[in-house]
Amino acid sequence: MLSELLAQAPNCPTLPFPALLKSQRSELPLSWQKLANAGARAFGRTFAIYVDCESALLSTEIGRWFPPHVASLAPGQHFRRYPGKSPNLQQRVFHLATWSKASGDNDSIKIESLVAVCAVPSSMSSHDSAIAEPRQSLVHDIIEQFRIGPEDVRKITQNFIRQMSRLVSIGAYPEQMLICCRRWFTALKAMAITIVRV
Amino acid sequence: VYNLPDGSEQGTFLAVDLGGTNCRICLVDLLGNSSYKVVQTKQTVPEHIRINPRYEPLFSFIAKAISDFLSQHKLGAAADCDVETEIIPLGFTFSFTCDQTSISKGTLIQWDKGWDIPEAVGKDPCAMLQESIDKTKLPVQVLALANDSVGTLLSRAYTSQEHGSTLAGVIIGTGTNAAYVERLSNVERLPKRETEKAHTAIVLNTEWGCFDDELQVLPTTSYDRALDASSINPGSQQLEKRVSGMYLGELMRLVILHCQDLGILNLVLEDASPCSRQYGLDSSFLSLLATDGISDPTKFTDAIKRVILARSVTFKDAKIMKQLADGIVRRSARLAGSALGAIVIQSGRLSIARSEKQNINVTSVQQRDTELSKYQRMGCGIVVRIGDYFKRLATRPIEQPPAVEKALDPDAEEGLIDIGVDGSLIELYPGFETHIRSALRDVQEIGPDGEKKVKMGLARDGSGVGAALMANAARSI
Repeated sequence: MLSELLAQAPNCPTLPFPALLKSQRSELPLSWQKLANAGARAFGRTFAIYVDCESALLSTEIGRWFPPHVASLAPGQHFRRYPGKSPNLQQRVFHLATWSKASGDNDSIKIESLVAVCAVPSSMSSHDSAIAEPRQSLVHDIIEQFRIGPEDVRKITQNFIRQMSRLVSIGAYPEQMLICCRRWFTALKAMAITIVRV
Repeated sequence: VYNLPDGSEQGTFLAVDLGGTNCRICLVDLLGNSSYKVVQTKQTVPEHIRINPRYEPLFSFIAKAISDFLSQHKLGAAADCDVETEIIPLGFTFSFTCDQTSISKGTLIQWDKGWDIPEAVGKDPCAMLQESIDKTKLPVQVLALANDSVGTLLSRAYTSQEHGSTLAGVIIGTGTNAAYVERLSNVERLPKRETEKAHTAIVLNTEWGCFDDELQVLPTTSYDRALDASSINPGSQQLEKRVSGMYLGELMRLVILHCQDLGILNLVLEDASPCSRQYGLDSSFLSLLATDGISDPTKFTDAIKRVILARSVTFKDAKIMKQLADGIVRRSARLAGSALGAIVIQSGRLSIARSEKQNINVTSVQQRDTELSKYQRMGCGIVVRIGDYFKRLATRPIEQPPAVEKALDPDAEEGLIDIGVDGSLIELYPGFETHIRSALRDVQEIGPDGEKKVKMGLARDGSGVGAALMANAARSI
């Protein structure tokens, strides 16, 4: 599965997962918040997580750390999370991880193999069959839709200035054109008469 | 000929404010020292009058309301007036789409807000009101067809202590609109004989709610699209649908429903919840969410429960809704700030020195040419024109250092740009002006220095006091 996903993103930069979680290694069991924080530190807000639940036991254990809708995934199902602004942001990155059964202690989840972090190609952003978003990220995503940055403000203001200028002068243009055409017509008519007379 | 208010105006005026479902009658006493007194009464216009094939019932209703009001306040000799009775001038704020052809004349284009009186369409609201007033034999003359944003500008100009510095009147309440002072030389539509006169500036009603209806630059979310599609005027009033209180409540409602679908909110809406009805929420709910809920979470969640009729509202739900509301309102304010920035730049006021400002000589105002009717249909109603303020701007040598630099002296209010504001959103929503100002700073031509020059102050009752001031202006024609 991982190779399939990576095959779809051949040009995406990748980052080894251990590098992402280097500082977290000693803090297992790894909580959802810690994982999210680590991802955020590495990639800003726009990262996502891919989880492949390999066993029923793992699913159960994941339930201790992840929201219920993730824990309810059947083995082999995939969970991806990408709280980015829009589905087509090229800079969106997510990390891929394969999770496996924790050994020994049921209260811990050990990351057995850490796979990769890569940019999400826009072509991949649409298969959302098992997407589940944690609350706050979704809220943030909605708020982000309403955000207008300084550049947006400048564009809007310039557009409004153009609209106001147009409204202030509205009506003048067609009338001036008409007057101009009439003058040209009169001049041409006079010229034609003069030529005929000559 | 009449003047832009400078605070010295005196007299007693009536104002009728018709819009929504209410008819408000105001007696405005301009005291001449930038202050005024208002006595008012409000009546709900019955539905059978709001929806009626004939206009006579509506205007008779208004005339009767005026008559009762005058009797109550022992003004005029209602029904018994003779030639010696002093005529009371009236400004009529008629909040429906009109093609205004002069300060006292206009043509009703269409009804909205649920009103439907077909016989009135194509007729002059002032004339219809005067007809009923005359039938009732009231000593009242309808002198001005007023507009709330122009009224806000006039009201602010009257009450501001910085006379001559008022640039615009902005309304951000249930709806949104703005009027501002424009250089006459920019208004190409005016006949040449008008521009050759001494007047060099005019007041324009921008109707900015319809700016960028083509959606070239306005941000659009899925909620905006849903709101627009289900509105009575899809594709129109796009800025208003992102800024005004009426639509912010609806945006919030759509977001709440979406959050419920996504499982973000734990709350359970009752069947009778206003969230189940289109336009069930208004901006007061957003104002509620903006209050400090942290100090008393129980009170906060209880208040939310009461408004949206929901069960199981957790404090986390409340906090999430608060964040969402803040995002929606922040966008509204920044959009309003962007539009206000356009006015500030278009007006050229950023480069006017105090020395010039002090020479403002607001002089004559006269009835505008009826040829402007087409122009006004496009959304810019020319109402009054002021004196040689902008003439001085236009004739100032280019090589002069920009006066704005002098105005940046923190100890002086040179080059002050005064904006009159009105409306529940800007008045009651905490931090709304702050967000407007942040947008002004983001505009390159304004920046932090220009933003400091912008002074915003409440201009209360633009549709009452403003209408009275318009009547006063019309009286001097």
